[in-house]
Amino acid sequence: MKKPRKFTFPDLAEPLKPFLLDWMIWGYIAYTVIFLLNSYWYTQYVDWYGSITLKPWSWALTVLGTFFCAFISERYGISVGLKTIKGLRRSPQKSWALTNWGITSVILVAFTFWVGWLTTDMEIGVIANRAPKTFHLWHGLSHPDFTHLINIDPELEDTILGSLVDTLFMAYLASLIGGILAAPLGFLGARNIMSGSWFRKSIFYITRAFFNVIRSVESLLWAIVFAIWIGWGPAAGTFALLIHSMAALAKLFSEQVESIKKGPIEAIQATGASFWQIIRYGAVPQVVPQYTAFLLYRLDINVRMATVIALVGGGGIGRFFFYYKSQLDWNQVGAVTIVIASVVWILDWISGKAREKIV
Amino acid sequence: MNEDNRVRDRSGLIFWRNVAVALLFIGAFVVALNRINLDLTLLVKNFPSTLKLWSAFAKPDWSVLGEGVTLLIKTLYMAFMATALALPFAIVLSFLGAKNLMKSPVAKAIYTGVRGTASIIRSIQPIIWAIIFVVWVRTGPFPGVLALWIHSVADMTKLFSERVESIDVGPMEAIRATGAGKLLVLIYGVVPQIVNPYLSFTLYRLDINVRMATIIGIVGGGGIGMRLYSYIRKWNFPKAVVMTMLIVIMVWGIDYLSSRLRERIETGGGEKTQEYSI
Repeated sequence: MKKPRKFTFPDLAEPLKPFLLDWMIWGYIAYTVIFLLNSYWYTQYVDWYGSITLKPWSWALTVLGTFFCAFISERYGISVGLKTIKGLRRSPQKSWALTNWGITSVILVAFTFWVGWLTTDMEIGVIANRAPKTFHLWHGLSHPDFTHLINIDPELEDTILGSLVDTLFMAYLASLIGGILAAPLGFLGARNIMSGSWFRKSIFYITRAFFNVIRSVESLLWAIVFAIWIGWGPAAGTFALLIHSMAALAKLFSEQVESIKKGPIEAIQATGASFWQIIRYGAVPQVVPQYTAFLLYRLDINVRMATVIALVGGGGIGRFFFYYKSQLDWNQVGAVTIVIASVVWILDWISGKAREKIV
Repeated sequence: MNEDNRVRDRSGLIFWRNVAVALLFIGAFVVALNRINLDLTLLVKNFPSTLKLWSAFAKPDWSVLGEGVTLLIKTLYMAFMATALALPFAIVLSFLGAKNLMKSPVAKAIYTGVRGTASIIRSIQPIIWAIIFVVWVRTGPFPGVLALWIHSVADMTKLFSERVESIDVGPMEAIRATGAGKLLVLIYGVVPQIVNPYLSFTLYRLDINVRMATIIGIVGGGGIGMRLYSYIRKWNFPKAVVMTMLIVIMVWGIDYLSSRLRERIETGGGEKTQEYSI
């Protein structure tokens, strides 16, 4: 006997998806066209809303027009949405550039590039015009002054090498503590472990949202928060790197957990092991090497970030960089830059080699 | 017998090596903790100093929403421009920086030069490049784009040429056997193998650039970060909170889109990883 079909939300959303995608693409093309018309016709910029020079009825017209275009493209089989969402295959005879996707993406990229050129105030001429004014900068950077490499700078009460050690320690602590905290969070954010009961699912969604939000805020912005919280210094920078690493590693880790193989888990399940034993002996050995590689990669990123986190009060070698830069002492800036670049380079190389060996 | 002994000796050596490495890590950890003064009690003790910040989340000032969205779009365009302008440079440089394609002495010198310069540029953060370009072309989104661009070129060159280095030589040799010249071998033997990885790396880099574009404004590189930082400096948290929320939404969205697209490119459409539950 056939069951009566139950109405669910995806049933309604599924046929609408291709149409919405088409509408979005047409809407974006309309936006870029209006933007270009405005920037060449009128001298005013088009904002997202407000200062646009269109009359109110033109807005309705634009919305209806794009709606109509989307409808037409769907009706006459030139829809990108249908191909993308429904996954229709293209005929192999057609060249890539002649498919709907090809044409649409070329148009979109061209328009985006044009609008982007105008909106980011690109002026290639300025690079050439102002090049002579940067002469002192290049001169300073290429004649580094290493006096404070091992001699204490009276203003900053530290040496460049001393603050370099601080920087490395900051990155190390952040990666290590962040990595340790991320492991349990990663399990809580793995779909395959946190499925089943309603309670587990809600934990999964909360954890995922939690680390996605934290990850989306750059560690430099976190450093501002921690500088307000506990005052300027390397500790604030370390906390900022730590919280960001924790979220990023937890996400990578949970994806790793999601992709583990079924075999070993079933084997351990068959012995009558408990939930925790399954995790310990079935899942953990499958994720540890990958996780170590992520950790090394994260250490690498953290060292890079730690070199500039002093910009917002996070401590480390960046303190010297931004202080000398504010004094316009480009010779000293050159020395600090060379130290930063060589350390980052060496660590990048070591971490790359180590990762190669592990994975 | 002899073999066994040697194996046992070696395993003992490995054990002591592991112990030494572990001690080194723990020792560094203790020294670092002392030097950095990572004090968790301070987080609790100084919590009141952040109350103003957290309370702003309860009553964000939505009057800056329009301005924020405009800046957000500008930031996205910055990231797009940096990636789009970096792509052609990186593609050309990636062939010059691939060890397996550059074999004659002159080519080897070019290879070393390209990879060396790329590593040096890559080792310097976009923020530092932004400072240099702000001095050069003054503040605004333009130096921000240039800073992201130069870092992207170097980073993409490295990733791309590593990819070229790991290609399969079979198709190349097959094309060469037909009597094709160097350019034709490149077009028909190398390019088909690297199109998808290149696309996937470009999307990955776009993702990074969007993240970086949100903070490059702190040093005068334009975008939403510039406004956010000025609000923070004015201690105007209700407005800063709105900007932060917009950043979170954008970065999250781009991250999601980019990872979905990359998955699709890498699997060639559709194939999902095996899913199951305990």
